[in-house]
Amino acid sequence: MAALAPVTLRVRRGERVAILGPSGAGKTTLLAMVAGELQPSSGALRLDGRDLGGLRPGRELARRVGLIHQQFDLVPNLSALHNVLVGRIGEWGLVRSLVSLVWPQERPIAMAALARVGIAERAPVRAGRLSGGEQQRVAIARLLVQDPAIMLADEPVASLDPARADEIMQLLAGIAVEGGKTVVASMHLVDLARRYFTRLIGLRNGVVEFDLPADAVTDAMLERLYATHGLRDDGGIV
Amino acid sequence: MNQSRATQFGLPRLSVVGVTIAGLLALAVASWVFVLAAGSQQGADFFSLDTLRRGWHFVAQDLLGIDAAGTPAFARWSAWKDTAPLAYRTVAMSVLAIGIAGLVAVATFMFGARNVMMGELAPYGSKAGTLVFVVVRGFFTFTRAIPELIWAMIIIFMFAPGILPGALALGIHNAGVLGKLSSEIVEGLDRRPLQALRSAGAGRMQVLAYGVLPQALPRFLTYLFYRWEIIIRATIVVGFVAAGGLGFEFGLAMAHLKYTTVTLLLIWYLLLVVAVDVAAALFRRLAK
Amino acid sequence: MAGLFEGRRLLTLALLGAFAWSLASVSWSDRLVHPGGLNAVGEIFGDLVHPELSFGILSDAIGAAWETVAYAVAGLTLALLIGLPLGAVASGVLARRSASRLALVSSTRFVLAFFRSIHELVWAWLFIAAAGLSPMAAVLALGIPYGGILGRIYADLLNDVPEAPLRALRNSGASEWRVFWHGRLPMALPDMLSYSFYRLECGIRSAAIMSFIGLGGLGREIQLSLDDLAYGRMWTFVFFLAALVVLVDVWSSVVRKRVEV
Repeated sequence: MAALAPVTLRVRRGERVAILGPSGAGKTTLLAMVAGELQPSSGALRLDGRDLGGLRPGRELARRVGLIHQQFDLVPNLSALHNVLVGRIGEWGLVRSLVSLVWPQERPIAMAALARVGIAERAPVRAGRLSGGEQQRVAIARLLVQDPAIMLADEPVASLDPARADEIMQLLAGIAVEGGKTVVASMHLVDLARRYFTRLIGLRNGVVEFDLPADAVTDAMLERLYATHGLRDDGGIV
Repeated sequence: MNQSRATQFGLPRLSVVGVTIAGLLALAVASWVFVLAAGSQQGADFFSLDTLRRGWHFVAQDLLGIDAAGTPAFARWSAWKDTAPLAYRTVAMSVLAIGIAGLVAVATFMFGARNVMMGELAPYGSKAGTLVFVVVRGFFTFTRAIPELIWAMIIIFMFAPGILPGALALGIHNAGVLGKLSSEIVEGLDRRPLQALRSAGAGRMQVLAYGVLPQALPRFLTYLFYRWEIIIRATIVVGFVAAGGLGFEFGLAMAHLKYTTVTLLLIWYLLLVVAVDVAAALFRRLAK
Repeated sequence: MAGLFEGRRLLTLALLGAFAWSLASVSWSDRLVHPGGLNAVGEIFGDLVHPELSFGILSDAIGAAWETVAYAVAGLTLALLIGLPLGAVASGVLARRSASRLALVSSTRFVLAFFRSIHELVWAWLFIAAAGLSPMAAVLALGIPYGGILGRIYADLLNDVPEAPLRALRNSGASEWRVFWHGRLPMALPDMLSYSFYRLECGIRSAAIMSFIGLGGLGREIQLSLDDLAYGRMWTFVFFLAALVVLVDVWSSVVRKRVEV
């Protein structure tokens, strides 16, 4: 069974793309394929003209594509610092990463990333004890340290309250602009998507409904995208 | 005929729970019939006033030493002082046993987890992984199925009596128990953080080190301390044959009908069991 | 700043220290290993691949296995009769007034703790010393400590049931007794069942070692074979014991999958 109809998307460096659509539209499938977690049944993924499909998860892929999820991205029993350093273990090799569990390696890099996301003082706290917003900050710090060309985010703020969600999106967009990163995210909050992304793609039943710059997307288009669903006052989809 | 209760073969569908309940009931009835029949064959009727009278006599006169000549052992300070080193050695035996069990389990439990050896954490579907998995799980089953007392009977062929053979017997049996439990912990781990590790570029060993071990270890420790509580209770029976600690002394006292000493040793055991339960509960909280 | 498992380093050190202490209390000497002991154990494990499978041995093994199962099952039914009521009382969910509740709960918990702190083999030995050799001694000896363990676990499980559905029952005017029968017990039952199954597996091992104080079963056959230095025969009986344990384990995991949501 195909979750996605044939789709051709071309994303330029530095673009921030939000994928919108009702649940079951194929957003997660699309992201999982770009991340290398799923293989497309046909077709190919190319980055700078190089095929990504042949890369197994590992260092080569990690340099190109980084991923954060809605939640459960972190190892709950490791400290925030160690979770951030996970972004480096693709580069380290086995021995150094084992040593790092006892004597953290390249601490300054991780601490700088934690400072950038505003929770440097939480570095020694176990990830499982952090709040939802703090956990997403740690996940973003890990992405900073991993430093991939493309940052993928699968509903990065779906489990946060509106104020927290706005902060996290601001952070993610800020980091992308600073580093000239490409961002592709699936979003369920239309308002946030319009505010922080440059390009919006509407996906419905595995088919692209629209693919436009953020300011060209009208309310009518969005209403059609979510047709059987109601649009909430705050811009969220019920 | 009720269609949902019939299979395509026209037989009533047997639910697992139904068969289990019926099977257990039948087994219970048959067992009691067997036990009662075997009991009456042996002549002496267990269910009689006489049994009650003898039991009362045993508790009051033998164990508690009421009306007996001389001070009962448990009321003599010197007897307590003489048995204290045995209690000390019993605790040492239990710690040695849980240490052996823990080390063996920690070294092997990864290899007994289906998802590590041949599932999603193993990047290549490997025949060797499956083979190792089967061998390790077989080892856990084998060591776990044989009770510690029988392990002690075998091990005592090799070692001089003392706490080492007792601890080895307890350790081998509990290595199987702990190994199985901790392999199942790994099999039940949340896979989302592990997947995130993979997408951050972690290799297979790195996923084990950063994702599996940190998540499994605290729960492994919880089980470890729980087994310690069980091991301290079992030191008494391996002591019978391995000749270590309070257990051996208990065997001697029973054989020589020194029942007030038996009482003394049982009191020691109650104290040790309570102390270990408290200590283990404390450690469990620390490990969380 | 601390690395892996921050505060747990202390615990790790304490554990390693305790293990070192226990190693130090073994009286290490060259007489620790029997002369020829290694050979004996080598022979024992060498025969692991040559179990005796003659018709006579196999029929002995089947008879002994049945005897072991019978003791285990009869002991466990007794344990249920002890553990269910005492566990329900010890959970404290039935009593209402706090004073009587405290007295009842703590005294029941003490009785359960006493039952389980003495090993089943010790109970058996005491029963036989008091009342003579009888299969009932094995059943009582299994039933009492297992009743203590079951009672304690049942009490905890009954206590850990989520409160919200119970409150709904109470609000509809149900008595505490009815809340127990229609809310608490059904909710705790799957876990209680799967734990009891696990105890049946333990019970088979425990019943096997009852031979040590003179009762029949697989343990007795294992002991006799060891005394005769007939290791191949011993492994036959050991394999029967292992098979019983695995059988119960598989059965219980199948049942567990059905009853747990």
